[in-house]
Amino acid sequence: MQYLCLIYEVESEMLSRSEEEQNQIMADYWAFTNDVKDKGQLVAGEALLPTETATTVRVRDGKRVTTDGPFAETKEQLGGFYLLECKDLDEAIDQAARIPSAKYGSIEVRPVMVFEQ
Amino acid sequence: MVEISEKLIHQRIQARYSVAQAALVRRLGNLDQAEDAMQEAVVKALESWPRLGIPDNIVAWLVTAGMNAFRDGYRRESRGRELILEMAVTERDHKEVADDLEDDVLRLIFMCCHPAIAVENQLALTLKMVMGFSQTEIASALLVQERTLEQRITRSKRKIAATGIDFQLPDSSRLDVRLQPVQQVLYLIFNEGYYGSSGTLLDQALCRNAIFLCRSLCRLYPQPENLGLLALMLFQDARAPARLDEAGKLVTLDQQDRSLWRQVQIREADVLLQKALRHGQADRYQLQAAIAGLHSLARRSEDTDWTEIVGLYKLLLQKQPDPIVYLNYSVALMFDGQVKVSAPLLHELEPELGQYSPYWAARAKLAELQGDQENRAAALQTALKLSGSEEEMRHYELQLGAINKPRGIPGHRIH
Repeated sequence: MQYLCLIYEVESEMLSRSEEEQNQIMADYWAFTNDVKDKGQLVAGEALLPTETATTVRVRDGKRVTTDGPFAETKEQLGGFYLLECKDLDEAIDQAARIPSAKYGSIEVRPVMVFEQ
Repeated sequence: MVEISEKLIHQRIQARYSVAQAALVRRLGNLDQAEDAMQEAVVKALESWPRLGIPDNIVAWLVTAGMNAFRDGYRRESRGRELILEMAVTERDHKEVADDLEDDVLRLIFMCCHPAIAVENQLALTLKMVMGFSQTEIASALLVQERTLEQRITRSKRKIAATGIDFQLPDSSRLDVRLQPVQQVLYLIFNEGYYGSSGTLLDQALCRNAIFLCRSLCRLYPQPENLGLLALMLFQDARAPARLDEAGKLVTLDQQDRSLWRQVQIREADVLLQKALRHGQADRYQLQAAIAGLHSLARRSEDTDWTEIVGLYKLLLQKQPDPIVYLNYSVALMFDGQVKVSAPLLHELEPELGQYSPYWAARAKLAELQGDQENRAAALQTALKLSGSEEEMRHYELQLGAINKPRGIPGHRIH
């Protein structure tokens, strides 16, 4: 099964980290990414630019409305994701707990919907 | 010939419910379908057992009846042969793989108590899917509305089916994480039965089921935490015959006729506890079991080793620093003659426990020991006002009536 691990962190805290801290977290992310790659679990994974770069788009009555900013103002913001292939939810939760940001923010684990052909 | 009443049939099914239900979940791979199949099987049993007698192998009968009902359901819906074929394969696999039906019960518990499910939902699911209680019974035990309960169960079953929570025993690497919620749920179910109302059939069934499943858990996973939990349940349950008087009223621990306690069960619990404690590092269940054990091993109420109990509560507070444990600790201090240590502690708890009736019963006891009859009566009045249970109220009234005749261990939630 595929699970999407959505990585949420408080952006302001993330941006105010010292260079040393940031380097450490980056190194942890590399290690994690390589590990899931080696295990054949990695389907995709990306980090996102901060929410100040976000644009929210809606189409209402055929008219396009764009808003400058993220969809929702929340305490923690979406900062990246991994799409992982795992045996079951236990395995997905284990891996989510190893994502470096789990120590600072939260990881939401969602199974990917499968459409019958 | 003994007449086979509906009640008897329900009792016999209840005793084997979890095993039959787990076998159906294995075969059908889906909680909803397995539950429907089980319900159909129970209906069939109620129809035919009074005529044919109760079968020797209740589980096999229920599983066959359930599977037949499931197949009939599919034929009616004529949704095709593939499904039935697929099922035949699972059935064959079943014979080869799982000789032990009881392991399947554990698989089902692990499924219902997955850490991705909220605790209150784990509780509801376990009561429904593993223990076979009706929605009405569960709602009354958990004090929630039936509709809310139904939504919770439906939502949780959907989550289990959709997220890949498998009918599997957990991987050894994550055993601790997976065992912990199972222990908690069994503990909560036992307590619900033990402290719930008192002595109703539903309460007894809750306790019996919790003990049965905890035994199954210990068989496959004899971890000290599990042994300690089982010891705790057995120590408490051994006192059941003395907890109610002839009129069905609750009897406090110090007033119980100790000759009625089930000594064999107490000895078994003691052996289990010693085994668990040998591993060092006592957890909260083992500490609670040790406290219950000291009560159970005292021949007379006045032989209770309160000093040892005080020490155990101190350790328990490190693991579980909640107000109720503090309350029990301060009551134990009073019985250990440490009234001066207990008094400030009890007063500190007032903001948190001021609405909790047993707290005021403890305050009454404190006032009594301090020779303050006025405050004792006031505390008892408050306890009476806040009490939700008739037994408790009767108990407080009795004390108020005979305010010069001290009795009872108020506040101490050990009966």
